[in-house]
Amino acid sequence: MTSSPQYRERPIQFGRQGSLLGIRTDPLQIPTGVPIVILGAGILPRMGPSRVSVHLARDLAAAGHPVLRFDISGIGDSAPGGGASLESMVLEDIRAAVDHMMEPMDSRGPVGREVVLVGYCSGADNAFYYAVGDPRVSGIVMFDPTIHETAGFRRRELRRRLLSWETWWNVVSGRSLLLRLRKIIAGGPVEPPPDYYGLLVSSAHDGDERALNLAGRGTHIMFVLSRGVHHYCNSPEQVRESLPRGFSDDRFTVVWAPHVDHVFSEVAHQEWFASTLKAWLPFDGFGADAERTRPGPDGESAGRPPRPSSLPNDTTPGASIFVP
Amino acid sequence: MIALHFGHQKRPLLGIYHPSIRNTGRRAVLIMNPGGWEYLRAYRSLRYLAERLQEAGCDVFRFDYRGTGDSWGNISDVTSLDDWMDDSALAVEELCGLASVNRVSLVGLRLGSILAAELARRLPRQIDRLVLWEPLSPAELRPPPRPGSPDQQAALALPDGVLEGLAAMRFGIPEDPRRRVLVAASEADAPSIEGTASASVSTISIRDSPKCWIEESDFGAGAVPVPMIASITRWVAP
Repeated sequence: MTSSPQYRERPIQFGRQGSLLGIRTDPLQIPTGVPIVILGAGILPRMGPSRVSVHLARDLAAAGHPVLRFDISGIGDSAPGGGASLESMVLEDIRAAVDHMMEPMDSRGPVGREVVLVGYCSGADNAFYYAVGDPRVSGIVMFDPTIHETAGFRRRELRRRLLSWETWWNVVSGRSLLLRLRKIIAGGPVEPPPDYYGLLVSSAHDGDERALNLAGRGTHIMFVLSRGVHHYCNSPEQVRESLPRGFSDDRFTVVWAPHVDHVFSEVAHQEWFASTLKAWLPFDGFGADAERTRPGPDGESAGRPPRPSSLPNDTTPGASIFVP
Repeated sequence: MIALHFGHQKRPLLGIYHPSIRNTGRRAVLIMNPGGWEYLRAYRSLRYLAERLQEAGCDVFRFDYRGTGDSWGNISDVTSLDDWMDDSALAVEELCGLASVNRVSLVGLRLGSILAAELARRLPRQIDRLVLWEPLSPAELRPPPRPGSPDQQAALALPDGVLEGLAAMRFGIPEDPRRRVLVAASEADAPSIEGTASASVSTISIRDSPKCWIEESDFGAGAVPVPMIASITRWVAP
């Protein structure tokens, strides 16, 4: 194991016959924060776009959290999966990662009882899909997840187009007709199959049920939406619209971040994301003296420290914190 | 496959070692990565290459330069081309130890091919074969775009120190008639590289070979160029 002034990092092989490769980043001292598992995006390896997972893991470990970033079976450096279906393979892999993080890094740390999942894009969808079946997941951070289309989306999109001079020019000049014909001739864009990215996406109804389940047992969820989602999610309000029964004002936070792109091109945005996440993480006192219990039927957990009442002020132009 | 840290304890580099499936007659191969976004897009293709070489009897080592992948540091910690050359030399040393050999072959993709050629110049006794896969041309190197620039992703986004080092470098195949060199490219973009005419240099051109360092549609990665990788494997393998 190698060390740096703020964290220690090591590659690990775990899961089914050691087939999964991950990088575990741990605090130098006894962990004080909840363990975190980072789920990758699409078919990209564990470091994430623009190395965002690398930076995030190291930042979180320096703040006291043990972190694991890893490759799903067949992605990055993990061996191909042997599950009966894509769904079972992905769920098994995530469970293996969570199981691993429940064990202390060495003889010093406590055995964990809960974990927070952080997912990007399809990794966010996978985290959401998995969490219902594992009560150890006490928090989920979803960056640019699937947000189902709603009537509100269509209404806002129509309004945007009606108020756009470009729309009217296209109609008057005949360009819109030309564009339609060109699209028909070209046969449309290449659409990947639904499970191409290892995507476990719930239907709108199923997603709502899952959200209801998670909120009911006390799981906290933070949605972070960059400008990368604007073609399918045009308002932070759409998250609530898409979860009519399941959205929880007490448990769910939506962060609308149009200043951030889908792949964290700028280091400043990665730093912003890490700060936002650290401020949101609802669990402190993960040390050996903390009173830890599993969530009860009412969703509350005895001895759990209170959730921070607000996120920090964000001075980055264009960002807004939306807490419905 | 074995994942490990190597190099300096305070600046650990991540390496992935693929030990040969053979016990004798092995060849050690170091794979040298492309830069910037090309690294991420070509990742699965380079893993595929490593596994094919492993099956063909090679001990293969892939690694991340400092400030990239899972290795130590940020890109801002890379101050000169020599940083990555030093890391590459450490990788050669690590592979020699793992595979119990004195000489290794280098396979470099894009920027990795330029670094591989330079490494062969610096370590002439330790490099026996060289594969320059789609080598960069000097015209493709340009300063990082401004933040927010629309071509942020398209650019290699290399650190200034690396760009300066590449600008001062002589692009070309190191002269050494004893060392076999392969230049591999898709036919349409066959590069004109100084030294290609040498008798010890072979070339492979595969028409329309997928460019694994370029994103296919919006999948985040490039298509795996299976025929090209098969050709490289046949040329390199013992």
